[in-house]
Amino acid sequence: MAYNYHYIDDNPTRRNASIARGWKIPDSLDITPHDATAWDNQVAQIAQLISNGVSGFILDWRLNEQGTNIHYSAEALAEQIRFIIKDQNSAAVPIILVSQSIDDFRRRYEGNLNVNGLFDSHYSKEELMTESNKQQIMSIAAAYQTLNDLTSSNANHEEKIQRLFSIPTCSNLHPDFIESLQIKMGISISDTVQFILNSVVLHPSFLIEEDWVAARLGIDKANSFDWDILKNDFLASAKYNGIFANAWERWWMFGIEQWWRSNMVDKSLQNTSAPERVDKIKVYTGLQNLVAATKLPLCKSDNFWTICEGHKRPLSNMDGFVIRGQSNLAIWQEKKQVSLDAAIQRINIDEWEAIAAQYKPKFEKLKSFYAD
Amino acid sequence: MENNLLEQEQINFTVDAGIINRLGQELVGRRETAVAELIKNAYDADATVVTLNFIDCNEVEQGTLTIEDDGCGMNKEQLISGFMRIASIDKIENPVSAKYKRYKAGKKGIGRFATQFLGNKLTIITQTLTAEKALSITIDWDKYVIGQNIESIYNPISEIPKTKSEGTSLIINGVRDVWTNAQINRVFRYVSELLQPNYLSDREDAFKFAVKNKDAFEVKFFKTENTLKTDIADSQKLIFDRALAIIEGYVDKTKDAYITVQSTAFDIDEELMPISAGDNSKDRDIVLPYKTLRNVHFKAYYFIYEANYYEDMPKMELNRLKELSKEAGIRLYRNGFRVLPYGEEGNDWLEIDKTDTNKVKVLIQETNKKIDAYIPFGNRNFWGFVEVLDTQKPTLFEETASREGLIENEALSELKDFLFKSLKKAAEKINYQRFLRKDKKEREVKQTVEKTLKEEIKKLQEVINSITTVSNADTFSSEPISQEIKTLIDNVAQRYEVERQQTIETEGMLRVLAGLGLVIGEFAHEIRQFTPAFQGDISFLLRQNLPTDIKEAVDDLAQNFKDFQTYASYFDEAITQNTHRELVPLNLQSIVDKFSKTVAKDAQNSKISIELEHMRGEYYTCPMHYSEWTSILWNFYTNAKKAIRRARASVGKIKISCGEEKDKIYLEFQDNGDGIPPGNENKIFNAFFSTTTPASYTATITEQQTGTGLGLKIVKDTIEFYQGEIFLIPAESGYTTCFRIEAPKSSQKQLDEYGL
Repeated sequence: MAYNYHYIDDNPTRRNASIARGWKIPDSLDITPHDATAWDNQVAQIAQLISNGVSGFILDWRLNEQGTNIHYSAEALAEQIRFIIKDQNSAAVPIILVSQSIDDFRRRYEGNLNVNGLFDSHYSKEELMTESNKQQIMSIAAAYQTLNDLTSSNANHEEKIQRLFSIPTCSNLHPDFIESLQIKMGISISDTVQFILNSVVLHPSFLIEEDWVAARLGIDKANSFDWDILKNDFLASAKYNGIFANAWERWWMFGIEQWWRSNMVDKSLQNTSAPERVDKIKVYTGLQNLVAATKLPLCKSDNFWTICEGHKRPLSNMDGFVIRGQSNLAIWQEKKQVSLDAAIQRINIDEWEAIAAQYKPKFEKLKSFYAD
Repeated sequence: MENNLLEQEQINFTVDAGIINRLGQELVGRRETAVAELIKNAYDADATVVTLNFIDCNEVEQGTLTIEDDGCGMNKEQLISGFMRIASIDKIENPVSAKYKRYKAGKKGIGRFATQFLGNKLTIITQTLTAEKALSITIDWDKYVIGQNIESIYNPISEIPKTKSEGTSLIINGVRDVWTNAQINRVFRYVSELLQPNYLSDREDAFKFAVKNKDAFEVKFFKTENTLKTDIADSQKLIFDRALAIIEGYVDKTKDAYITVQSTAFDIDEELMPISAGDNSKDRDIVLPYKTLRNVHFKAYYFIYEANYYEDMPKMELNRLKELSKEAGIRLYRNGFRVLPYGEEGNDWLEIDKTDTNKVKVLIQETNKKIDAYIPFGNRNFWGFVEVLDTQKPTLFEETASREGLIENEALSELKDFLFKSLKKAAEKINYQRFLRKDKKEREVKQTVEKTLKEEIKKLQEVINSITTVSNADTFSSEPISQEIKTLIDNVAQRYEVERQQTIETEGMLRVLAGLGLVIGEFAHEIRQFTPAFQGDISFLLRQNLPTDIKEAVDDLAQNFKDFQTYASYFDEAITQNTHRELVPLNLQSIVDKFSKTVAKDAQNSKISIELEHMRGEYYTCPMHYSEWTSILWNFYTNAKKAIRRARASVGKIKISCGEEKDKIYLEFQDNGDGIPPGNENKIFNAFFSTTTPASYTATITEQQTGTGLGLKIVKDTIEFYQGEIFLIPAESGYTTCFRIEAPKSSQKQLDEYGL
């Protein structure tokens, strides 16, 4: 079944059509372009679309640039969409923001990129032309559908969560998370979707991405030819299959830990050095082409647990400097860090920007020691 | 009139007491002269230190001036027949001083009038070495009014306990004028010609000279206001701080000779260059010691009397120096005593002036001007002394019977030889550095028009200021000053006109470019609206099952468009950045990294590899505009591309490095293109300089206006606006051209301001 997004832009029709063509995936993702019109017309059109059934909306951020009779913003339109849905008691749908100047948008709404829950995600028009990003908006649409179904079902809260995350039991989820999720689900579907996406999928939590998995297993994945086999076969039991899994590959941390303890050694992964981890895995799995990850320059420990956001390579907590902007993390979320070397050389600085204030003095001291 | 006189048959001349004031005005005239005369009197009295103190002289008739010396003082007889006798012949009878045999400096009999000129009351306290008590006499000049007979006015004289072992103190009360710092300084400079070398070197102890030079004469000026005493002028600093070079040399006890040269102006810090005693050219390569000469030490200060050698030398000070240069020369001291007439005015005992080097000139290609090949090398360019320790028997030197000079023997001719060679060698060293410095100065060309105009105005202001301080003097001629002002004003006006023309031309050029820039900005912005549409259709086409040839066409379309986008996105960002008008401290590494990513595709297409080399660490330039660096790097890149194309290199190479050095952030941009022809190194920064063929009249406006040699000029202007520099340096091996930009580093304060 194809997802059907409706795309509203103030560009000339032909251009909208070309862009829409670029975003489509035949038989999977349908994009219907619409020229933005004056408010009353627009709202009426949207109401009609919603009642006919849509998978979601894609709005151009600067709607009032080209046309002469458009005097409203994408934010206003998004608000109206949410209102109409509630008003009509229709199924909730995602709203995606696109823009030519997406960097301006990201700068403007730094710290509040959902714009108070109005937008589920944001891309530049070019970005949305890539396969992975198309998968993402489809995944978000799917998440909305799942939640719509769950809301109208009779399942209790715990069961709903199990179905959402595709798990047999909630026992491995932190009670605080369960509680927060419950609150969100009581508010709205878009709140729920954005909460799960931002809190546990886009940010390392009890769900981690591939690089983190490799780091925690002490493996240098770039140089390990057997990594894919390990990941796809041996770690299949830890693979995440809940909502968003199609677009964002994740693994359950508790699953990884469980796999390690029951099959290799009943000692925590974190307290084992990378070479020892790899040795044990090789013995257990019989895979020989697995290489232990090595320390980054100026690092002391190989008890890797996280990723250096600069080098994108394994890093131990001991050697890491927490990146700023994470003072409000929830208990189930992990802190993103950067290594001393990457910090001194400002590697990939656009992504991590700066070290958290409380770690700066220590960093400055070490920096003056090591810098040229 | 007294009755006695009226009744006498033989009458004598009487003198009206008002003559004191009249003689004072006519013979003394100016307060500089007054003070100078009193100092000269101390000098004539064999003083070694004279201390002047202007106490509370900021209100008329309220201040006190004290002049104290440690000279031989006066006994009662000397006081009565010397000081108290107007027009005494003492100076004629005794032309040299008793102790140090100084030729007396003071003009005959002015001293007493000088004190009257300065204040309305004088107290003299004087004592000789052998006297048991000191003498004190107080003269109230106000009593010497018109109508009084001079011989009828009496002044109290008394004996008081000695205040020191010998010497005189003059206490002038009721100082008639107000003395500002500037005025005190002027007087100080006026008397400076009297200063004997107290600038003996610090090596004295090392060479174990028997005695410190007793002949030294030092003047100290102080100002006391509200009991706070401050030092006004430091004798040595005044002249010798201005020296362009300091040359010091010695011949040790093994008869080996060495010199050292130090110069901040010419950036020299040479230690121990040997001087060979050899005569012919062959021997000069081997360093030979002298045959008889030993234990000699000299120090000389080198001056050139041209303003452009000095930073910030006011014209009056230079004139003063020129005047004083008459007294230049190397003086000779033997065992602590001055030996005359060596180094006296007009005495060129080293025969420096006979050297013909001044006539040689050299053509400087860059400016097409001829300059002196050698720096001025004359007796008046060197101030200094040479000291000889000659106590071992038999002595090296012998004085002539008349006590004027030394007997011409081997030691003396070796001494002359040593000194002459030393000064010559030092001059050669300075000359060499002078040429190097000129090269460096060619690069510092930005301190050009702006500074010169400022300088002209400054000079003018100084002259005007000096007039107001001289306004009290009536004997000071105003003719030369107004002429000077006129000249300066003309200079200012001319310089201003030149500048104005240049500004108009530059503005015209910038207007053209600004217009272009605006158009480009508009264009870059508009493009953004189209690119997603292009991408969308291309992306759609790529997904279709197409016949091979069409698929190929679509592939090419996709690739071409990608390249186009990369280009466009770079300018796009520069335009967006322009809307942020802020100046922020910039991290060059990120800017360069971004730039290299942007041009990576284009470079690849042009078969150029780009290497980056950054110094580790976090460093920021002073607040600058981000987009200006976009232009700079872009300019370098396009120039490099053209150069590489012209060189027909098989693989083009570009290397960009940045880092920090002391308080500067640097960026170096190298390429292996066809290089910059020698001679053009500075010209390339000039407007409209281009080695490429000019665009023909059929070329588009854009072609005509761009690529015509404006790029580097703008880069230079941009950098210099931020007090930075741009210049060429030798490229690394494998590269031919290397541009280096140095920009000031941001201060901690600036970093804090911007939260960095």
